[in-house]
Amino acid sequence: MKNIILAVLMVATLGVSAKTITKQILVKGECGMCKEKIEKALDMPGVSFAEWNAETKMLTVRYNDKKVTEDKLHETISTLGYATDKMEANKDSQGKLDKCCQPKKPACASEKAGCCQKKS
Amino acid sequence: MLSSLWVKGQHEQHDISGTVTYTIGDKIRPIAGAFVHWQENPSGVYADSTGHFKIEHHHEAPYLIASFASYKSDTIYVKDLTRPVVFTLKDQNELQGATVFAKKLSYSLSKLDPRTTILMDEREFQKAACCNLSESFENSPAIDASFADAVTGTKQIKMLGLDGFYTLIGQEYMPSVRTLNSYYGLSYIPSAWVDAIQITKGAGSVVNGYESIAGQINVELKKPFGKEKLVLDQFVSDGGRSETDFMYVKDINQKVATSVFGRYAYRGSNFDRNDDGFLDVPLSKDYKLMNRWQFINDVGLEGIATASYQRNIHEAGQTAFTNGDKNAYGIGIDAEVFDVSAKLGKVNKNKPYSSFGSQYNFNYSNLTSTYGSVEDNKSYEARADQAYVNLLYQSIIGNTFHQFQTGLSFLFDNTSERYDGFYFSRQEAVPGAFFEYTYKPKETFSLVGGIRTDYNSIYGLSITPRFHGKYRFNQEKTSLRMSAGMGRRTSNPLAQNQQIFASGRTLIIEMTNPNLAYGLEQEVALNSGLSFEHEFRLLFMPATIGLDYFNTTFLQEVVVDRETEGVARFYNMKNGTRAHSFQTQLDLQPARRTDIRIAYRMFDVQTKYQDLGTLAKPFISRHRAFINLTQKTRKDWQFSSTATWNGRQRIAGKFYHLMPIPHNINPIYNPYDIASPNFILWNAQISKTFKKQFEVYIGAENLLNYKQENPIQEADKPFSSNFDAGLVWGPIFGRMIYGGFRLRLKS
Repeated sequence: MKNIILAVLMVATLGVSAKTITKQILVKGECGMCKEKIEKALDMPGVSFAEWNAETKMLTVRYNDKKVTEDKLHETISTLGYATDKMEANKDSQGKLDKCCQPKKPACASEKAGCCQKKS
Repeated sequence: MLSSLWVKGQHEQHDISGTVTYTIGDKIRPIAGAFVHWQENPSGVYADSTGHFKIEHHHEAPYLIASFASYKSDTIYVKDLTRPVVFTLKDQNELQGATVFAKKLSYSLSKLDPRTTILMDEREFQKAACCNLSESFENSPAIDASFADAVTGTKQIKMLGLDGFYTLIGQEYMPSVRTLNSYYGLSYIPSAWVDAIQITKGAGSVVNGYESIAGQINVELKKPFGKEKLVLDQFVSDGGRSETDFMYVKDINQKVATSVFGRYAYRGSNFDRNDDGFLDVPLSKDYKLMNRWQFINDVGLEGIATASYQRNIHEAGQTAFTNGDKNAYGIGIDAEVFDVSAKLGKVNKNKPYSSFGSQYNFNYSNLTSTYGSVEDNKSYEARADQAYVNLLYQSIIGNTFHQFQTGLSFLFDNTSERYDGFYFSRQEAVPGAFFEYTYKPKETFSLVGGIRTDYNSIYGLSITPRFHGKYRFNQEKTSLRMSAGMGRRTSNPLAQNQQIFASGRTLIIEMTNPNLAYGLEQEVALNSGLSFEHEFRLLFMPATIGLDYFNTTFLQEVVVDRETEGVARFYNMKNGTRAHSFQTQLDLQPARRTDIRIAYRMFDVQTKYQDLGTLAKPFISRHRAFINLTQKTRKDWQFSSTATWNGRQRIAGKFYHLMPIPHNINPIYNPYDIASPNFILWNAQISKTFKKQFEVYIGAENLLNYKQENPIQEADKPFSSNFDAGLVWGPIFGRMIYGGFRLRLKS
């Protein structure tokens, strides 16, 4: 039985047909506004689902590895201005984020409100 | 010792300051009078007129909480004492304030409301063609919208299997679309002016009156302090119809804003696609102007005032008539409505949970219509004045687990109507008092009990109780709601059944007591229902399934009896109609930007007639199924398509031969003789939005080009008693192609 599962898994990994992978990625977003931004940026070819949890900071993403690589996902998030568990944030984009969305700054102390509401 | 003094000293230095705000669109506005306190310490401070506050630092509690009236309170963890704290509160009542955390749905069941309330925003009714509220429910399975006559071009709605006039329709919770305006009223509200609609199935709140029987529809118009600065819509269709709607907002200052609205609708082409000699839709000119003023004051005072004027001129009937033949059958309708309303609210600064609200409305409506040739016609001339005042006080008993709303209301109707030798006039004054108690120990559970008592100058004293309950469980994924309540209304047999004027029927009102309005008793009904909703994930994507059942039983009804040819009878019937409504709906998102809604509903509506016994109420599809697909693209294209399958409807005057029947009814049973066939209506629309503010659309209604054959009975003999344009069960004209644009500039 174990062997069969193993075999199936191997076929799946080596399979020629494209398959959908579900991954959890840590994305260091700061507040609620980030959620929309992250999910919208990941609305790209090859990605069928992306949902970021503002509390756990975990991004659940489903993608087709024939069309998009995991590195590409990290790169997209980084370009947006957020760091992931594997890649630093692009400094230029990070600087352009709303103040409250930038890391290590006191949350919600910026004049630009509307991006820092606590999750209800 | 020294160190503790030092710490104390630092405390005193650290007053924390900040502002409490709320957002309107992209703008941020201060909330004067918001209450700010530390989590551990219930005493706190109030924000000043600029929303600014200063509070002494409280060492043990780093959590600062801001709250204000109907806004959702917000908690902030204060890390840096030197920086100002900015709260942004969200209005729980405003749909536009939906949280950024959840994907905002354009059509969803309200989570906060203890009643079964569907929230519909502008994006949802934009999927339908155009242009007014009577046409905006195409994508809403909870409401059936269809033509009730083959001449006026106005759609009538049905909820829970009951005619639209059994639904209390409010404009910002003030009674609207009633008495004289119950037939055409929904078409008087341009959808471009509407911000959102709330549809409550079953008994509504006692706060809004005693008239809701099947449910309640509340229409929120765009406010001056709203999310848009400019709205401009243009619509054209191949039926020679065009409509322009606009809104423009002018901010006078931080506290006062005004907006002007305009509408011009025109239908100018004489077309008769079904070749029955009658126009399929009337020639019409409608215009409406409205002005709103809104102000927000430092001391928690808020108000909005609205004035509107409209005129609607319609011409219908035989094409020969509109071409000038004085002997042909024609219909002329000239309606004029002037409406002013105001709302004033005051929040108690010292007790943010308590507020006082008041609503005022005055409406003057005048309708002149003629049916027939220039020489030989019947005319319906009516005038109605309505005055309404509702005073409302909201507070808590001890703590926020026990909330209540109580108040006084006054409704006055002065109507006079003249038709074919009848003259009716009534002055009906109804002072009332209401009390509604909400037990809400937590967000997920609430029980509401409401009672109101009214003294009607015609019908005397009445008591109206209502109950609602809501429970969300299973990690808040499942909700269960129940409701039960009583409703009553004074029937307006002529005004609400104007399709009868476009027939050769003789009107008979069988008076119960000549001292009553039209000699008829008020209609009284009991409504109860249960609804269930469950949210789940299907292949990661969110999905919702809903089921509901509602039952309406009339204790006293005014039955409209068109079962005998040549006459239309109105009479009181005890235990008249029983309506059962069952609906199930599935909302799926198989992929991102793809939405599927599938719904099925069943109505079983049986009415007791005087001579015939119990029959299915005519013109109601027992079964109806619905599917809507909406696909959006990353480039802001939207493709939406809706198909509705309508089951067979019994046609008035035709029924299975079971009872002793009048001599002129064909006694041979033929199922296809008594009911309409099934039919499918298929609509589709494509739109493209540029820069989130300019949308261009093109669409088609009734793509399958389905038409009711002979929607007008005896169309060739319009002066005979069997002529009837009110026996309509399906579309009158076929496929309609339309297009237009919508411009929305954010404020």
